[in-house]
Amino acid sequence: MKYIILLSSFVIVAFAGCTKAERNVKHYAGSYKLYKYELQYFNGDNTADSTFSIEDVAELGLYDEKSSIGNPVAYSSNSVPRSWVDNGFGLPNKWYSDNGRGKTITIGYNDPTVFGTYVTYDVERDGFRKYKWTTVVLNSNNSMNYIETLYLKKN
Amino acid sequence: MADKKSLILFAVLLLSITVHAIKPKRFLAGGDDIKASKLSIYGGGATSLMIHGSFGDFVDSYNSYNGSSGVNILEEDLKNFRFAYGYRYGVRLILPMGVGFSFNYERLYSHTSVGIKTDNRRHFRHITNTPTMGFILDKPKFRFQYNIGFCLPIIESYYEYPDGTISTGKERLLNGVYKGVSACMNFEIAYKKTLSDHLQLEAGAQLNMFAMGEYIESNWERSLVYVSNYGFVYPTALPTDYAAYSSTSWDKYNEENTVKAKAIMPGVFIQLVYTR
Repeated sequence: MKYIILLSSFVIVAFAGCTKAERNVKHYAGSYKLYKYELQYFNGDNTADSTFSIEDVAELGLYDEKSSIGNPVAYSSNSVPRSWVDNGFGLPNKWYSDNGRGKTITIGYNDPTVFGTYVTYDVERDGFRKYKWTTVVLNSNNSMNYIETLYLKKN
Repeated sequence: MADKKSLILFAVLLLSITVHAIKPKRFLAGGDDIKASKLSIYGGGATSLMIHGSFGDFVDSYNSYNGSSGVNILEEDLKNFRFAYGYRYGVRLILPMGVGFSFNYERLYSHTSVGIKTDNRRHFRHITNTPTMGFILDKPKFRFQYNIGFCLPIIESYYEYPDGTISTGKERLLNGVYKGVSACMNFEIAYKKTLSDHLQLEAGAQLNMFAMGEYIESNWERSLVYVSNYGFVYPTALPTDYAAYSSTSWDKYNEENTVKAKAIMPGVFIQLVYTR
């Protein structure tokens, strides 16, 4: 029994030291339903203006092919999040998470022949198997233009 | 990947030491047996001062650039990390001769932030992850321990907007999750109070030190070569010279000018120990 506990603890400690990015990718990989999409617009002085939202938008697939430079993404709808368009890629072909506590997911497009583009979302749990992804896009004067929120449910 | 291989090698080494330390009964004192050794699990809380000189260099240059003598956008000066707090747990094996070893994990959090005059706030959160192996000298009332291992420190740099939205995204220059891989060393001394046959309370002091490496934002997109047609490319490390960093002359990764994963953390802890 002692040996089992000792060995288990050793494995836990060794595991704690392993690369977190791979664990985060494994954790977030899967198919999701984008059940709500929300855009909150702001005036030039950081005060809220109006909010736009739609429901049942798309299916999103985040694959784990153990790539260190981004794993494949599948997106099912023609209604594309605005930040993807504003950041110049439209439809993404890669995603990855950070090397810390899985606080962020970066999604974007990479073509080896040109410069890649991406959006980084802050990820929050929003219920059982539900996540809220948020990103902020600024105006040219560095004030908030809009906050984009993706409400996702893991299938 | 390199750090993962090192960790696996380190793990194999530790396992080998473990097996050799507990297997040969003939090395134990007369009549002693491995069954007489004591296996304990423990868990508790810890707090410490955080002395982080390299992040202090960043703080000084950030204040100098953004403060009243610079572009004057700060409500007050940003302060360095001061206190850290968190939890620790592990398993230890004490052999009959009063020496032993342990596997330990400790996680400490520290936070600092600064108000921006536009009602925004810049935050930095430091997370110190330390998986270590300890060598123990166990006495009836006291325990001395020396730990070595890895420290995987993280700085989360995020921005808080007036409506409370938190963003670690790329719309702000410093935003990101920056991680280092360092060597770690720790000394601790604990006073033991017996609560029952199997339960002890320990209170003690420790000195944590970690050094080596930088904090790197692992978002590989940042590290692509600057292409003028596609705009600004984000730096991958925190700078010690903020003025250069926020200008177009910043070399996106210049080891000389980056915040190093290096700190000293003297502190105290309290924990419960369950022994069989």
